[in-house]
Order: sequence, then C-alpha cells, then structure tokens
Amino acid sequence: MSGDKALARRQEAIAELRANYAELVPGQKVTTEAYRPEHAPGVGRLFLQVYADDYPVDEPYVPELLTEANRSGRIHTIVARVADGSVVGQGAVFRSSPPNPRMYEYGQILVDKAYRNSFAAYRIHLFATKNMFGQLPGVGALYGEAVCHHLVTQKMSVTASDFLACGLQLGLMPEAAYAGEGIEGRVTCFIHIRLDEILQGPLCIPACWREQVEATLPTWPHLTRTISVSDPGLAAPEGSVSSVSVRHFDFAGVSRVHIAAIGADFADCVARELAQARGQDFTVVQFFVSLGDAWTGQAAEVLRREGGFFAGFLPQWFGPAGNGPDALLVQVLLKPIPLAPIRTFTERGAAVARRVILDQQRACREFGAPQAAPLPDLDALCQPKENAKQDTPEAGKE
Amino acid sequence: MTVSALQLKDLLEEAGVQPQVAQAVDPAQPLLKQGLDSVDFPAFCALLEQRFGISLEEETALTLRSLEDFARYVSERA
Repeated sequence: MSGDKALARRQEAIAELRANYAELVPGQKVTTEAYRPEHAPGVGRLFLQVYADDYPVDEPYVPELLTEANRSGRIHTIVARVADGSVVGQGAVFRSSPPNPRMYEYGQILVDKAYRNSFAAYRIHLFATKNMFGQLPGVGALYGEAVCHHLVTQKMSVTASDFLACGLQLGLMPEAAYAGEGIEGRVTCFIHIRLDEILQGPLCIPACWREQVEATLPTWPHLTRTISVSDPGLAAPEGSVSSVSVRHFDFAGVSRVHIAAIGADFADCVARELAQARGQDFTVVQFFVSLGDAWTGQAAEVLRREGGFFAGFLPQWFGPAGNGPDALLVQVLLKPIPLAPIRTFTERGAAVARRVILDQQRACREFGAPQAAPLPDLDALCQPKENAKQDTPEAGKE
Repeated sequence: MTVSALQLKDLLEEAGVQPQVAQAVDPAQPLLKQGLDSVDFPAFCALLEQRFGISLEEETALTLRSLEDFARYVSERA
C-alpha cells in the first residue's frame, strides 16, 4: 500500500473507532486469550482511549493490518476480555527495535480505564508467561523495558519470566509520558533481556568498558562467546563503511542509532547523528554498537570523547544482523536533565544501575558531559531491603 | 474442604512474595498492609484459583483482606 493510501486507511479506521466508541460495563470477570480477528475493534478502541490517534504504528488501529501481523507472527497479541465480549486489555510480543529478527519486545500492556483496578494487567502477563515466553515460533529472545520510578513493571519483568536486567536508559522518557503519575523529571528505564536460544559469535569488548561488560556477562551462564579485548589503537580498515540505521522518537526527544558494522567513517557517522539530534533539540542519543569488529575499542573511544557513557550490554541484540550478535549500548545526553526517582527491585538491577551511573559521572568529569540529577544514593539503590532479591533462576521460583 | 490460613501462608512465597515478607505475615492482619504489593496480590489470587479450582473475581478478592479471610473463602468453595 502506498504512503497516501496507508494514511487514508489509518484515518478511516480511526474515524470508525471514534464513531463506535462506547464506555465499557465495569466489574465483569476478566479472561485472557490469544488474539483472534474479531478482537481487532476492541484492541483499536483501547489504543484510541490511551493514545488517541497518536500511536505511531498503524496496526493497532487498522483491523486487517493487526490480523495480518498476528497471522504472520510479527505480533502476538494477548487480549483480556469480559463476559459481554468487550476487550478490556491487551499486551503483545512484537518485533520492534532490535535488528535481530528473532528478538521480540514484550510490552504494550494497555488496560481500559474501567478495569485499571482489576487484575487484567496481571492476567495478561500470566498468559504471556504460561503460553508465549519460550514457546513462540521464530522468537529466540525477548526484551522489555521497565520504568524506574516505581517497581511494578520491574517486578513483573523478573517474576516468573526470566527477564534479566542488562541496561539502564538514564532519563529516557519525558515527564509528559507519565502525566498523572505525580512524577517530576525524565523517567529512567531498565532493559531486561530473556534468552531462549543462544547464538554463537565473536565478542570484541572495548578495553575502556571491559570491566562493565565482563561484570554483565555472567548474567547468562550459557552465553558462550569467543572473547577478545579490543585495543583503542586498532583502526577499522581504510575505506570501510559503517552500517548505520537511525530512528528518531520526536515525542521523547530520543534518537536511536544502530551500528551493525563499524567502518573507518565511524567518527563522522557519530558526529553527524549527534549534530542532527542537536538540531532537533533532542535530549538523548543512544548508540547500539555491534561488538563483532576487532576495532570496537577505537569506536568506544570516539563515543567517550563525545560524552558517551556505558548504558548496557545487550546479548544477541543484533543476532545475525550485525558483525557480532551482541550490542554495547552507549548513551549521550545532549543537555542537562532532571531525573525522576530511580528505584530498583533486584540486586542485579541495582548493580547495572550503579555501573551506568558511575560511568555517566565519569563522562561528566572527563569530557564535560551534561549532568543528570538528582542521582540516587548508589548504596541504597535496592530498597526497601526486603526487595533485595536476586533474579537468577538459581534463586528459586523465578 | 477446609483450608487453613497457615496453609495459605505457605503459598505466598510460591506466588512470588519475598520470603522475608511472606514469613512475617500475620494471618489475621490485612495482607496489603504487610508488604504485599500490586503484583503480589493478584499473583496470590491467581495461584489460589489454580490450586483450589475456584473462581476469585477481582471485586471479591479486594474484599478479602487477611489470610484468614482468604482461608474462609476458599474453604467454603473448594
């Protein structure tokens, strides 16, 4: 479908959802099931209620697109329904940011306002844990993002799900995205990853972030890698070209830059993307760098000189789409930012947060990178104490 | 079938409640005032539904405050 036709169809579908919009009857028993085509209007209605017509993807609004996405396996939608057939909630496992075609995102949990005090969200999550995680064809890994201003999403990510914290996106989301939650400042989000299959591949760790990567690696005991440490003196072959893809999130003021291969033009690519982001008055630029090239060390130094700091090690983020399967996440703040409170549910998450925050402070000291404040007390991150829980499978039920 | 509050207390950890929190629960006191949160509570209810083959609607569950309340409810229906 052409761009004009797709836009027209989206607008037509949204108009239809608006015309048929009705409030739901509260208090009915909630059950969950996998998506069927007849659920499409109910899913569209939910997105309309929560995002109005602003959600940047067409599928949720356009029934035939959502049905096709579910049929093809690009999206696996879970719906929560009540006795009269209404859709009161939804969640999804879906293709999103990772270049690895077998790494899907888990999230998009939306619940109708009449059912926010019900267990609908939990039931959707329970359905996913029992019927989807580790069982979907074509899905070898999952990632999720969990906000840090409260612990609910973090807890759902690790409880019975085997999602493990490996990255922290400092000040990722604007305060406006959480209007009504009474928070001030940009919201920080964890990245959690669950691996159901292990891909082989090289791992070239930049010398400057060796400590951080090696501290994160044992999170997945079965992740086997041929590891080398990349010296910053080793340059990419002359004339080689970086493989770069960029996505801008205007509402959040965030640019996500994926570098699947590091070429001799890497520094120019970084400078260009930063300049473009500054020109758009963005706040955060994230570089996801494939760790397969022997010259990752020099690339890391380029990013450090730009004020970049370690924000995570993401196993299999690139999969076969990068020169190495894994990604280093480096974040650059383009301006000083106020931060919403950062709370961590697990000791593993707290350790990731400490690594990231300490390196961000280094970037400020060494390269004058913009400050993010207030930062949490690093010694008190995993509070209250009863939540100081390890999220490893060895710890028991998880 | 009679189910005791102490039997249900043993299920708290299985539902994902932190061991320290679960072990300290007083069966006569409201669960939500003893450290269970908005994930623990539905997880515990879902486990009771599964374990005892009962239906526990949200509106009902929210009227059951203590483990003793839950034990009475389950005993009457299981």
